[in-house]
Amino acid sequence: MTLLEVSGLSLNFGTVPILTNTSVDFHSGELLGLIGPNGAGKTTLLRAACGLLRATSGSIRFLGKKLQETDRKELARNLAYLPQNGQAHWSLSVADLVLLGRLPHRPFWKGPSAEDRRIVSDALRACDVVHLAKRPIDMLSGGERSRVMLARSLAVEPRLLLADEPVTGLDPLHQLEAMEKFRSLADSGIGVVIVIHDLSLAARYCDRLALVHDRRIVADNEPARVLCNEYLNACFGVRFKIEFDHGIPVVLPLEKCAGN
Amino acid sequence: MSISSAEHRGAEHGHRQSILFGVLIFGVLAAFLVSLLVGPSKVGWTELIALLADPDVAPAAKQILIEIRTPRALLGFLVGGSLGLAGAALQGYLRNPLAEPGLIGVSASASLGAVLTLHTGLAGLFALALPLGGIAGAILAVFVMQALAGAAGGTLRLILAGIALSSFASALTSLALNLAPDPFAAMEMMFWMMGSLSDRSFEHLELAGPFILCGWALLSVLGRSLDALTLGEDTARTLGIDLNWVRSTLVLGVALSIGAATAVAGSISFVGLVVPHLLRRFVGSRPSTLLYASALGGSCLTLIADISVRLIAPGPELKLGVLTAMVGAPFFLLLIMQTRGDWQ
Repeated sequence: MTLLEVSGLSLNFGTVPILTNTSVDFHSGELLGLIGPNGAGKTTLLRAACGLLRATSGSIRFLGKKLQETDRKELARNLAYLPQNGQAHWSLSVADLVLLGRLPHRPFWKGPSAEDRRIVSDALRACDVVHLAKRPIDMLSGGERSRVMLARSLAVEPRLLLADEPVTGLDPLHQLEAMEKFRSLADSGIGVVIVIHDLSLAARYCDRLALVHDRRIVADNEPARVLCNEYLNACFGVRFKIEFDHGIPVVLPLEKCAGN
Repeated sequence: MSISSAEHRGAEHGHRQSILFGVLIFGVLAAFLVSLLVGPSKVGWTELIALLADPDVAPAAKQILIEIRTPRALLGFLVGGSLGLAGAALQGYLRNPLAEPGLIGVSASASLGAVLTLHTGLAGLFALALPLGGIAGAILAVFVMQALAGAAGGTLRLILAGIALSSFASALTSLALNLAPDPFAAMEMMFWMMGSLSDRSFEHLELAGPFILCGWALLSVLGRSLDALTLGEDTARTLGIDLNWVRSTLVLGVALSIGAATAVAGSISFVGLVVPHLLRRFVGSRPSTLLYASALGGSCLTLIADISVRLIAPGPELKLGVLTAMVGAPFFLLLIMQTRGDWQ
């Protein structure tokens, strides 16, 4: 089922075009990896999909309804956004911070319910941060903080999760655990979209990869079809060694292409 | 740590918070009561008890307790609460512990309005001209702030517009002082700007009270939005928070409460800055909790400061704003040193 539909999206910052005529669909039960070089427009695409940026032209529809016509609260209950290097400005405890994910689910005069607390406990457990629950967020390492932020977005219990570089800065074990988490979320029916730079991890866990380059999506297909030197050389300016492990591409950057 | 032990510690934390709120409420009530009992005339416990037992006894004591000290104590409560609440709200919104109620230019504008009534001699015509001038200045400031940074624009624009408005109002206030018709008028303006709660009547309370309470009502609904803003503006928006609404409500709430407070009490510095700082270490950093604790803390501190000015210098009374600045500034410095860990 299509949850979010981006069609013909163009977006400028001032007079500088960031995305041009971009179209992509986000489906439920699917883990989609957005890959591409720095500055290609991946974060902009994700932020536009959350309704954080206004499109210059084109449309974004969530569950068939235009994003700007969707009720803000309804959108907040169904769509969670995990920004890159998510930070907390005050020294909140991990449990309080994760509880913020429940805000869209209750009216402003109500405190958190027992159900909210149960969901927060589940999210903490799912991200392996239960032991940090009472720690102030600013006392955690970068990797621990990333896991807490992921727990915060899971506490929303969204139908669509958009995560910007959620595994950057994690050690290999926690990278694998986070990717397995995204995989199991997708398997449970949630639509998950992640921006990811580790192409091998992307190939192993994602159902589909969308390669963003030069302000548009140049390839949108299953990982093995996107991760070929034809696309990668042109987009990254790097020659890759691509091997297959049980049919899954393992991608290793070798050298800069001539001309770069 | 298991979840149950985490929950247990959470309950402990909640328990500590309840105790602190209890202490703050008790502090406000106690300071309010003492504020009724302290003053240049020897009217204290016995007169208060006698008055409560029989309202018709001792008219002089009754006049002092009800006509003079009650409005002063109530204004102390309202003004201090406004400073604490507005300080915590602005710090939460801007995610900056250095924000203070004067930041959006409302107090400078209210001061200007009040000083102009002194300059023009309007203040001498009727008693409420001075606070009315202050409120007019504050209302003008609200319109300017809403136009510059209300619905559109972001935090930076709010800060810059506030600085611009503050500087302009201060410049005009200096001009009014500069062009004062006589030295006595200049002195009156200077004294008024130092901030005080003495010689305030129920009329002042009736004038400022409704504005202050409306401001409180607006600021007190901002709690969860400020909590969400802890995660940054983008995440707050994806949690369903309308930032334009938050900014407009904040500007209006701060302007109403601080504008009216400045109009009746002059400028009282450092309370709005220090109180959230001081309480953050006890109630934690969650902006919504801090909002209500700071309102109580601000009231308590202002009442204590107002009692102190009466006790320290019974002759020519020390101005409240002077005392809060003199105690507040070094105290604030101490807090900063402690936060950096340089001073233990």
